[in-house]
Amino acid sequence: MNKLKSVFTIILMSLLLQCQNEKITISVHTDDTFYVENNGAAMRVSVKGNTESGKIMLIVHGGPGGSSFLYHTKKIQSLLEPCYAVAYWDQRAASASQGTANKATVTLPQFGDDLKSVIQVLKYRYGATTKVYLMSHSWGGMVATQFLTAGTNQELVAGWIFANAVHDWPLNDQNTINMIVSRGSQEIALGRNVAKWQAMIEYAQSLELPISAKQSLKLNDYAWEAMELIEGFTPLNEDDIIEENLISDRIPYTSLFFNLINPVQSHLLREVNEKSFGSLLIKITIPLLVCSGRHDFVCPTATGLDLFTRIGSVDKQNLLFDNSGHNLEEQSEYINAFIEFISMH
Amino acid sequence: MRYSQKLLFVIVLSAFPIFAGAQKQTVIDTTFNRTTPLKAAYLGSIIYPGAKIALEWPTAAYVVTKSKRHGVKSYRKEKYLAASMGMYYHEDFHTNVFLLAERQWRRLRPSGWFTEFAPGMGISRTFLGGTTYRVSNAGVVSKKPLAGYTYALASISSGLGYDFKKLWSKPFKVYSRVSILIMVPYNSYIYARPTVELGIITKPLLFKKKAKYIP
Repeated sequence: MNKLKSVFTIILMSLLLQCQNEKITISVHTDDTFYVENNGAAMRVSVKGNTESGKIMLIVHGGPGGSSFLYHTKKIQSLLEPCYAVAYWDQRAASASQGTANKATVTLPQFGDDLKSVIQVLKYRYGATTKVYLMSHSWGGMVATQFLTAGTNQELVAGWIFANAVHDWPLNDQNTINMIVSRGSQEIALGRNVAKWQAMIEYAQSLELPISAKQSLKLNDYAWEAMELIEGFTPLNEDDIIEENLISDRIPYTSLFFNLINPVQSHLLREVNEKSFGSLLIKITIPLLVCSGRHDFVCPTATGLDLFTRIGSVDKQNLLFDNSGHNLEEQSEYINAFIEFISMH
Repeated sequence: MRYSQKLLFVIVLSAFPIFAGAQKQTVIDTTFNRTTPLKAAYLGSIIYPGAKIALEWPTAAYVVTKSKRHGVKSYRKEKYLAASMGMYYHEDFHTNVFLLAERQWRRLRPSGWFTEFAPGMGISRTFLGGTTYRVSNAGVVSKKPLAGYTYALASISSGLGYDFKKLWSKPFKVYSRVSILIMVPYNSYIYARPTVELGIITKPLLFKKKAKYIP
């Protein structure tokens, strides 16, 4: 019986070790998944695409509590991955990341530290000379700015793409308020969705800065609703991407769901509610690409423009996407801009 | 609610079986076979495979007879304590190995069909679905073998099965079960995973060698 137990244990252990075998692919069709453990969180990183290029675009996803699976769209697979590798990183307490992350460790400085660890592991796996480009979207802008303004971290990356993102929470709230009032007034003048716009404008105008985290969340809800009301524009539905890739990407759907509603996310939102990196932006000198969607009420173009004008970088570009909202709707145009930026740096 | 209304409500409720034309009688089954059955099952979450083995300890059995207007209906109720070991493999996410203690209630029809319900508690150890790295303060990257986490586990299951002994005189049952495994504290919150189980329940006697006949 004891022999049987030992044999069983050996088989089980070797199977588990086999599952965690190190697999590093340098190819045009890389599909590697590994984890980075840092301060109680095991964060999933999936590297797909062309690692032979020596260049990796690292996605710093939105949220907080979002998912990097949402960025693995057909367009990114067909346009960007054949040229460069893409690292899909799930932040702590988000998406497929696991562990014991809690209120004490779900803080913005910790996210910045996690990002540093992920970049160090990418360079360890794919070569120290591998160039890493950050592509921060929405909340990911806060994480990337936290990372880039700390110490000499910016030396680890070759460029920064700031796509429909935020670097200054109160300023972004102010920009959302302004956009709801101005675009809403235009829509009312045209007689479109008058009652809905009026309700949103009334709420926006009732807010006195600085607004609370609760008010900021409600404003965010209105920002999403506002995008739905723009005629001739259809916001990208994130659920469609999940549905499309549920099996092929082996998405742990319930982990995404429970991490999204995890109370630590609201705790984090309260922490960052008055956080602004405005005065520190001058420290950042790496090449920058700012992308904004004209219909983005969540992170309005004015937020990207503020970063663009205040950053210390000399090599910088600001692009406006005419028929996009918050979720990079003009996928081909956004991705081609990313490819061009990466190829030039 | 006033007292008279409450009283009326209780009377109506207690008289319900009479109105329904049914009377229920429960008798403890003393002939209950207390041999420990063994369960073996495929356990998976749609495309992610796994397995489960369990032992069931029968604790009680009752024969329930219901008299209705159209005749007598009877079924058996069985109670078990079960201990199981299971695992599932979700590529790139994690492999989960768990131990579970369950309380099972099974209701067997004369036709051989049975239903069951089982809440349980246990412990789970996950193994992350990829090489796991750590970075020291000095920036040195190292690998962590067998990286994963231990969680407290709760489960709730409901199932349907068929006892082949009833009509086919075969000493086994087949069953299917839907369960939800809940792990805590997963990122200081919870993680719930639905699973499906397809298995067989048999008595260890089945594996015993038949005695040779010596004339």
